[in-house]
Amino acid sequence: MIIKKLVDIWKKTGTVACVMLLVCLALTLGSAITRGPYLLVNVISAGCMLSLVAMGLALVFGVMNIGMFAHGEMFMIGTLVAYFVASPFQNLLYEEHPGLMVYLAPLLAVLAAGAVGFVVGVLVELLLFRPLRKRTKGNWVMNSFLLTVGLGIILVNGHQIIFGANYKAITKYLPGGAVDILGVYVSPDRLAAIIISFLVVIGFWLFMSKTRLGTAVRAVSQDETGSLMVGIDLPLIFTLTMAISCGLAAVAGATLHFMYPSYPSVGLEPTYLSWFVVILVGLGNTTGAMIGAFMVALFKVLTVEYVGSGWDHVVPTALIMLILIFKPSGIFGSAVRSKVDQ
Amino acid sequence: MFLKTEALDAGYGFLQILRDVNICLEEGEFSCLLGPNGTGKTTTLKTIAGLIKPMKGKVIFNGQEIGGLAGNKVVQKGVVYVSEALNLFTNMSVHDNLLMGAFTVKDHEKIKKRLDYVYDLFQRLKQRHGQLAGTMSGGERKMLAIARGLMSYPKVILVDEPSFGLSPQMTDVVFDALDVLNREQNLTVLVVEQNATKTLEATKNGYVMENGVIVMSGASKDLLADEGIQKTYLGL
Repeated sequence: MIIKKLVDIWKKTGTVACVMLLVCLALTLGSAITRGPYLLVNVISAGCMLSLVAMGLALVFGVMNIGMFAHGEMFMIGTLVAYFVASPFQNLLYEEHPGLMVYLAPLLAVLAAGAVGFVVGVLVELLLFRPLRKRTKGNWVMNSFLLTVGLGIILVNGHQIIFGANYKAITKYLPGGAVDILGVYVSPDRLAAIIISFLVVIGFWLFMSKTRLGTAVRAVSQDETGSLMVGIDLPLIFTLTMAISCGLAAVAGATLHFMYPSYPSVGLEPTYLSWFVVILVGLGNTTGAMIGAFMVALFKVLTVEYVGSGWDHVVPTALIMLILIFKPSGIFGSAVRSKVDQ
Repeated sequence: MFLKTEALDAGYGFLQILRDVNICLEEGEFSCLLGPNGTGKTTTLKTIAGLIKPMKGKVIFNGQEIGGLAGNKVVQKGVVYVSEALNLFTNMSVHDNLLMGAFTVKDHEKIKKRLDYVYDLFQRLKQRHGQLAGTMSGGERKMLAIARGLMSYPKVILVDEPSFGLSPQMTDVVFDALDVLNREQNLTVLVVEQNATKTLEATKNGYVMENGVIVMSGASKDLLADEGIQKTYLGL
């Protein structure tokens, strides 16, 4: 019975994906046993944060067919909003009796960043992609991709002109010393980041699978004309998708603000990392992006551990290139789906 | 008039396909639109369904102008289009596809009632309710597309090539279902077809289109008896 179920899962996800998952699992366990469980904690914390950014990217590609290269800039906007909301309360943090505001301010910062990211997403869709969609007949992927690159440049330089190129940072969000988990000391900020990204991912998943609008988003990603034919308001779904995606990136930026000070090009690393993830799992697959985020996090952590911290982008990229040579559609790729679509 | 087009011109970009198309459907009428490949039959349906904006002319449904409305608004008014490509949600189960079809219906009771009706009409879909839509056979997918269209309680259903790619038996099943819907639910049906004999036998009224123009219209049995039609479409 259990074996049959396992075989079912195997068939559904595909051999490559299953082998990859097993290898990753073995690597995680092996390294955790030989080098210590702190690796596990590192993978989880890095994976949670990366999945927030990567899922938004996958969503935008899956639903709107946009190769979003300004995604990291939404992360940047998140860090910026968090800075301006949280830093006024920073001196409270080191007073003798930190009040409720110390705990409330980080939460406020994250929520504000999410809201601003959402609004920016709406504006981006309404001001940029909607006019482009009306005018573009073919070549949508290329045109929209170029537009996002331009948008990214404008946002980076806009940040520099308005807020300057210096680092705008807070020292930390939450009071208190590091917490001991499995022999690794985790700062309360990191712990909070893990919990927040976990909650957001669950919330996102519930939205996509249980709500009316969420199912509409999934439907649009599968067939735009079909969605129109059953009465789904396409422009609304596009706007919502862009808004959610930008909101997720901004939330990630705000949550990680204690690690990433806000400066114009802070979004570069999240952009690249989330593109690694999305390419690795196959474009437009949000659930896959979540799993892929943990894989890329694992590659990164293991590289830092065994090879050296300067290599943490090189080895994952090389691995992804290798995987793509053998499975160009990504490990959860849509080879089956496109066959089925015929 | 229940659904009519008035001097409808439509096309893609600069390419005009339809010229001065006038179609009138009474409520509860089962009609067809015949013609050879590439004459604008599908374009006509798409324009009525709101997937293409008309260049000129009107589409009037129930006394209201619906020409130029977006597709989702047209569905809300009660006109449903079943395309030739079917446009199913291939990665969703049959059941989920049907529920998506009821997207415009807010009342859960109504959705459930309709689901039972549709499953009753297409027994095959009931057996396969958990299967992914993309993994079904052509006939089953056609049934699913029509069933999905029915889920929104439409008053008019526009079906593009119901017999395309189907075996003769399956074509019969699909036509019978449309006939049942037409009689039981008083559903207005407009089918676009190339299979002229079958269609003219099943429908009440017909239009014949050539090069984007309606060249002939009338009762189906008259069309079936018409010498020109027999020569061009029936190969007699």
